Amino acid sequence: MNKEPQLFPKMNHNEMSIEESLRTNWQFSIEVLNGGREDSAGIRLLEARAWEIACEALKPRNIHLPAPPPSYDERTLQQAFEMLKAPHKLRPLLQWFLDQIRNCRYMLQKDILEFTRHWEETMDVRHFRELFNVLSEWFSVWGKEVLAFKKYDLDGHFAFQRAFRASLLSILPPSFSSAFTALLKFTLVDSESFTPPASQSLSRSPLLFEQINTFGVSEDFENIITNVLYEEIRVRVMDTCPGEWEESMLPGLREWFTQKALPWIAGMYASGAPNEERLRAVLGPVTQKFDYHLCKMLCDLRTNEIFDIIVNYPNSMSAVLDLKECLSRTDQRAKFVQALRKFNTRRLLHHGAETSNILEQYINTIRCLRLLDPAGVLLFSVAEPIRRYLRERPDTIRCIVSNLATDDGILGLSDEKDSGITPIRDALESADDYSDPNWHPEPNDAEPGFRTSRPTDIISILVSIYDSRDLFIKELQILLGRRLLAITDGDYYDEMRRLEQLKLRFGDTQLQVCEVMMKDILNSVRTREGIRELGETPLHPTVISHLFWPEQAKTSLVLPLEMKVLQDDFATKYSDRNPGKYLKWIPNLGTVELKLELADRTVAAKVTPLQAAVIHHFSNQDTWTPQELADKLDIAEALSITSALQAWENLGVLEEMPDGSYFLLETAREGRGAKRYNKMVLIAPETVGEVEAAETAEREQTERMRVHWQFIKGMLNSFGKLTLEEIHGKLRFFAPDYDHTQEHLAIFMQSALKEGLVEVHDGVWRAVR
Amino acid sequence: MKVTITRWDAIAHWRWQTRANDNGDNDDENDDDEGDLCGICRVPFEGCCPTCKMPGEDCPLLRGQCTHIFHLHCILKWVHSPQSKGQCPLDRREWVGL
Repeated sequence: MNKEPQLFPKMNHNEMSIEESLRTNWQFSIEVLNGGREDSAGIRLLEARAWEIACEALKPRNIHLPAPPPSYDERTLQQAFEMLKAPHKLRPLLQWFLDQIRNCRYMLQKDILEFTRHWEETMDVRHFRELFNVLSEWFSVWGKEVLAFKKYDLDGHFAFQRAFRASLLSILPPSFSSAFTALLKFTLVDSESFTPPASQSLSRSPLLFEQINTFGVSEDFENIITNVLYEEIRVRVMDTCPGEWEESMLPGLREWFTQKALPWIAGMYASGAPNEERLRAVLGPVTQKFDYHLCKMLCDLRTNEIFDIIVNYPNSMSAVLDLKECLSRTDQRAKFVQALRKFNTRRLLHHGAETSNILEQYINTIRCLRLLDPAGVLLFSVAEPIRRYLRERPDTIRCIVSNLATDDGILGLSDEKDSGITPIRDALESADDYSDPNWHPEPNDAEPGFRTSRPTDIISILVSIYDSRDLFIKELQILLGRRLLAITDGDYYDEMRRLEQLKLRFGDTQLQVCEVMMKDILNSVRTREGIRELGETPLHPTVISHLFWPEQAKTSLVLPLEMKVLQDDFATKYSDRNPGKYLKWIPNLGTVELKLELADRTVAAKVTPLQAAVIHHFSNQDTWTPQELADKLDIAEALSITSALQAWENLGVLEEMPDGSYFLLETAREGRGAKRYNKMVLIAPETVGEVEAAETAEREQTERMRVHWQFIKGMLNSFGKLTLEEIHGKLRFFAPDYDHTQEHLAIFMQSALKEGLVEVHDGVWRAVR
Repeated sequence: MKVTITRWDAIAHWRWQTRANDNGDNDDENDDDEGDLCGICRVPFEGCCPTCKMPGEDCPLLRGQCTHIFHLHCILKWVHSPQSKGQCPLDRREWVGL
């Protein structure tokens, strides 16, 4: 603070010299400006005047007010520009003009706000369209002045455009973009109807995009424009395509795109393109982008529908081909796999679906995905859960086999018909054949377990669900046995043909057993004919080599004498014809056709041997209790006797007495069976056989499981308690040849429980000591 | 009531007569007897020997004096091999086929 006052005296002291030097500098500057010429002050004044004139002329005016008369005539203006040119004042002038543009943006703002508000209130895009005409007018009125600079090699157009754009963008209200979106959508959908009505000033207005381009804001709106188009593509796909699987939708969509959307975007991206070729070159990348989006939309849609598409295959083949193209354009394969797996889990692989349906869907999936992706990567990823699930199902093999053995099952209408029957390939055999000239590496999105598989037929794929083919052979054997024994008219041609086909698939050695069965049947026919020559007999036996046939459910049954005589007679003749061999009858199998001659009627029936034996006993004695019959026939289960008795009761031949015994009706009761005179009645023994066969298969499984009993017992003894899963897991790991499902194990454990070998508590098994 | 059987589709299976008293009756108890296996290939008589595909007449049995029975093909192959010395493999008596 003390030093401060001292400064001023110093300044005062030097005052004169500072003023002096300023003056000198001033003088020097003026001389430089004048360029050494005289009369500099006059020129300065003229220049100032010229600047004023130019500014007055350039000043942006409000187009809504009537244009004021030009303040200066052309010539004066030109002179002013000339004047300003020399001392390089034109550039600052232009700068001033651009600043003015920015300062005047409030004029635009008023219009924009007004139009936007109007749109918000009425949603009338046509009116909103007017905004661009107005803006266009602003642009042209303001921009006209810039032309004046052009003569002096100063192109202010871009600078002006930039300034205009900056002003415009800075004043757009928030709702502008939604209004603009609506407008764009409208022009796209309604491109014809939009060509503005002739009345208004719209008609002479250039296209919307050209206007936007003129303002230099097209890049700022690009997002909105592409979004509108994306949305429109989505809407188009969703409107036309869902559920339309029988024809290809992609060409139609692309046609629509080229016809409608392309000209629309042409205005946006290529308004300046001089000719068709150039236009295409410019639009190429853009079109690709939108085509990608189109494919992606269709791809998403079809992916969502894929389950039903597969259900409807091959009717939906066009949809699959569309999807194939879309998948190749877009990279949606992972998503596709994920979606299909999800659908399968939700809609297919649950307890509510029948095995045959699952198989059918699996087969369709195979066909469908092969078409979609010949390399098989998709199929591999999708199929695995299905296969795992099928493996767990107890009746999968039976279902496959029963379809295998018929001509028109789910496998019947297969495409294999054309390619002929091919042997089943082993799924495990090494796939890479390095001498193959058409070898391809595995696709890059293949899963680790994937192997390039050569095209195999569907049956091979189904069979390969299981590691071992033996189960199929077993099931085939059971099925064939059942069918062969069911044939009574001697027409074995169909079965023989089918067996030949199966041999082609599975190989001769695998089906050796079935071959023996077929031979037994044919031998039986010969034997029957030979023995018939010795004397007529109603007996038509089929003689089987029992080791080669599925285990036949054997129950003891002592047949009445009349029936036994027939058998013995035949057996003796058989032994005569075949020395060293004798016959053992399986009494409960087969069918018997009977004629019952009653007092007032004759009843013909085709029945099981048990039913025949039962009714036979009534010919000697007209009242039997079920127990008496059971003793007589040596049948342990009273139930089967009762059901046989009831079968005859249903035919009106027997009647149940109040004490539970059955009584033969020599004369028909009124209203009961009376109408059935002389009628051949079938007591469908086939169904009985069916159930038995199924039971046989079950029982066989249990028998096969029995070999593992020692394992299970040892396990339970050493571990104490185990759950079913644990037992199953350990068996799978340790026991050789253990190929059962957990269901089989559960059945087996239940039977062990019944035998009192194990006990179970809360799902935990324990050995009984 | 008179019952007439018009047609009877019955099912039977054949067996070899392997015992002297075997007459096809009441032998249910020895259905799965060990004695029904061929002592050489351990396949039941009603099956076929390892070289055959068809059972029955195509792969018959042969009974020796020693009362042992084998598949024909099995025993012939054995007897013709040098180490057999022409003996029955079960009791080492000389093999004489009946």
